[in-house]
Amino acid sequence: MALPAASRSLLLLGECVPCVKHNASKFKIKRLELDTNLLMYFRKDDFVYAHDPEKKCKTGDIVLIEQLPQKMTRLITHQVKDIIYPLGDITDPITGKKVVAGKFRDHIEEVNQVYGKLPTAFDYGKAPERGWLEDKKDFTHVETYIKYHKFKNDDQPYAV
Amino acid sequence: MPFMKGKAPVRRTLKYLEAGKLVLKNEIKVFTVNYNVHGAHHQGTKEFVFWYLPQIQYKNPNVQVATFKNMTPSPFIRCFYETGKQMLIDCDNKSKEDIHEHLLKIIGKTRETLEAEAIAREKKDNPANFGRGCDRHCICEIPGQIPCPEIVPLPNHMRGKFIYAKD
Repeated sequence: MALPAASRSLLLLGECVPCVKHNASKFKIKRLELDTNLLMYFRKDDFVYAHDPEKKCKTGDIVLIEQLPQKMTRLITHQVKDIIYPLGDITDPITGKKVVAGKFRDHIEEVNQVYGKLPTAFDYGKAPERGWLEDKKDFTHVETYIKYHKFKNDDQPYAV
Repeated sequence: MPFMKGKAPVRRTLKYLEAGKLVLKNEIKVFTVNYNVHGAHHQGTKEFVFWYLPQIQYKNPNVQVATFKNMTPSPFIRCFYETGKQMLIDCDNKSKEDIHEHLLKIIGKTRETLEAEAIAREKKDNPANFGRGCDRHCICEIPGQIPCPEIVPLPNHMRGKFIYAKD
């Protein structure tokens, strides 16, 4: 069963992927498509560009995007509505507490206190916002590639 | 069952998919389930995803159905409405049947709405239908049938007052 185009859906939930456009962010929409012969649902990824002038969304965030009443450009059809789960800083909607991959942060803190906390341990409260190491050690905001040739005038900062 | 592959291939039969009861309301556009792979209190949600998710996606082809694994310690279902509202359903320690029943009551279309929609679809499908809600109201409007007795009186052998008259 063919899926209707993602660009025509009113509301979508997508994961942010690196994008070069200035005012927009690219989102990967994970949807299930029915294979008519096997009668099985397989994952199909659609990419949608959404208007995000302040670049609120970082790579890996799960974001809710809604369709614009009128297309901004040929590709930008949606706009960012709400960041549901920012990467690394997920809040459990039921309790409202911060979580780390299946454990509550305060629970981990308490366990660490009992065992003895190292002074060099990562402190969530004092950690700076995501993005302070961008272009220095964090290259998730761009698509990196393996360097295949050394160009004379090009520094190639995003080649691995 | 052709291609009887995978665990519980009965989930991949057309009969099973058509038998899905949960048809989400029109305003719901995104349906997400968050659960962990390990943990006894997540087992119910995990089974719900295993058994009922194909049915839900089959009955709602225009809804984005997504699952997120190992993100939060508690399992839950989150629905996003067109209006911007969200519906959060806690599934901690609930069995798959409990979750399914709860969803049917809260965000599923009622049986009456579904039946009404099925009838409406049938009426729109078949142009030969007549009656309430169709183009032709009465059988007398259909070419080839007896004209309306209001305009042209029926022949005497079809009229009760002549057939049952005691003479």
